[in-house]
Amino acid sequence: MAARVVKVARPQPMTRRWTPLLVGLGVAIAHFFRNLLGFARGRQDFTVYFPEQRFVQPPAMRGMPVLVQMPNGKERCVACGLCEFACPTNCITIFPAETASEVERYPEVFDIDMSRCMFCGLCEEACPEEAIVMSRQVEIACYSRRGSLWHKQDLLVPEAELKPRLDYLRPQYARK
Amino acid sequence: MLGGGLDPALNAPPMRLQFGPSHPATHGTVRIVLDLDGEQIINADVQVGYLHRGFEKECESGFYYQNIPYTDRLNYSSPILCNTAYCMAVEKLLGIKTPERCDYIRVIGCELSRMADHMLCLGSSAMELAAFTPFLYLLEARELVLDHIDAMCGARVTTNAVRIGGVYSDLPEGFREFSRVKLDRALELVEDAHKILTDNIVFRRRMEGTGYLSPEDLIAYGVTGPMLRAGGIALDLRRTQPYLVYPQLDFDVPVGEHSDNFDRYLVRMEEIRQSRRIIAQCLERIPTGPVNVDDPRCRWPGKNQVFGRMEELIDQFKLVTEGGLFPPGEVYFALESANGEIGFYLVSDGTGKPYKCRVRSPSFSNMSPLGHALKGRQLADVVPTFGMTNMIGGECDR
Repeated sequence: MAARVVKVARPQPMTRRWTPLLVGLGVAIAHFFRNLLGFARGRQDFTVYFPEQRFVQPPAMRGMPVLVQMPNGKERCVACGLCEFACPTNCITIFPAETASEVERYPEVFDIDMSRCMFCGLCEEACPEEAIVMSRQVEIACYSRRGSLWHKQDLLVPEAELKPRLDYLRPQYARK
Repeated sequence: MLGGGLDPALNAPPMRLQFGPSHPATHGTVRIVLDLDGEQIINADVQVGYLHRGFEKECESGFYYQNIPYTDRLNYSSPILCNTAYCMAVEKLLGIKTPERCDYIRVIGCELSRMADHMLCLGSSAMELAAFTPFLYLLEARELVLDHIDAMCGARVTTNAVRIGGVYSDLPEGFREFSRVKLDRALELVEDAHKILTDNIVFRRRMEGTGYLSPEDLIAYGVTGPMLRAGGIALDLRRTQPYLVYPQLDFDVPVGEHSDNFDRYLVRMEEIRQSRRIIAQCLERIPTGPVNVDDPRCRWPGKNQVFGRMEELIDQFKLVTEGGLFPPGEVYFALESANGEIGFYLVSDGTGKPYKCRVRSPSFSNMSPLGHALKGRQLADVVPTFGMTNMIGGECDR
């Protein structure tokens, strides 16, 4: 059980010139037929016809951060500002405000500058309320820089739509 | 040396050729100013720094945990290695030992990254020598490797997979079977590329004997990684300064003897196979248990406790807003990345932010003898030599 040092086997000096080329050609032809057969059988390993077809993303996939919307239509966020602190690129802006309801604090302004966001997921990890989570949405291209500034109303996503992400996250909550 | 070709009667100065900063064969922004006498290189001046982003300065303004995503951007073809090196440097500062399962997951991530890096290096080098087919095979293999990283941490390139005192998440369920199928296919593709390239007359003529650096030069310039091992010097930090669980694993450290580009290629090819072996052993032996250290100085508490208990909630607020509790001191930790020794030198003044974070990047040291290796050679040797140096701009220029 240890690392051994081995010399790499350097192939013999070239004596035969044509056989290696033919071997290479054979490999390429084998790949051609494999791909042709795969295409005929509908293999979709590597070519995804993008807008019509989508990649199958793993459960862990991190897309853009969004705010969780509770069934009553309000955000779960209590404007504590931890995501703002944790964000390495300072792309989150929060102005807190207060209401008379039971959970009195709420974000009056919650903006994320998606042109700066790098989808690192630290905001989600810092959030003490499960209020900001990484969605599976990555298609956020826009025509102007103003369009990459997402406001609270754009960021709110109903909790039911975020179920895949929450199902992935919740088993990890149990750790010490 | 003027190569003897310059005719004094003609009074012709050597031709100056600007190779880069944006050249199809420099995958990374680097400029090589070549003085040519016909095809012969009289002088090669390697100029780096076009991708300087101020990583080291930026680290001083962020908390320790906030710098982890930036380390992804150092070597963007093997980010988990940079993540691990940075986090282990901080752990060395704190003096903590991570749980064994965490170490295994880190080794798996590191070796997957090493495979992905070597595949990209070999593939793009082959493409620059006009072998486009193996490039596609190796990139397909790299995609299969990135699928693992995607399943582990949710991103393919900007992983942010390692945390100070732990990892972002445990391995997903069924990772072993998933990995066996995909890695077998990836290794098949690597073998296909090997069949096409290794004996190919064009490839070998351009690789063999070019880019020679003597072992003394390699040591003098501080070269590490596959470039050094191709020169016959078996310096692999996984073997000489074991970290994580490498002492318990069985793997070979391939070394070459000719110190030319072809040996660098062969060493990288063999390292891909050895990484496959290491991953298979890790997945077999990985123990159950926690993946995060239980240390309130740096690791954020679990969410169940944050949601339900006051002490952990306060702990979470303190850790996020103050960065954690770090003792003053300085520490250097290095590990074997795909290109060589990547090390982080941290100076802590006892606050949550590093006072200084210095990166010992392998690409920078590996680039330094490039001009020396090219001097007196042919113009066509620039491309394979540069390709086998595997300079990654993000890491070299920081």
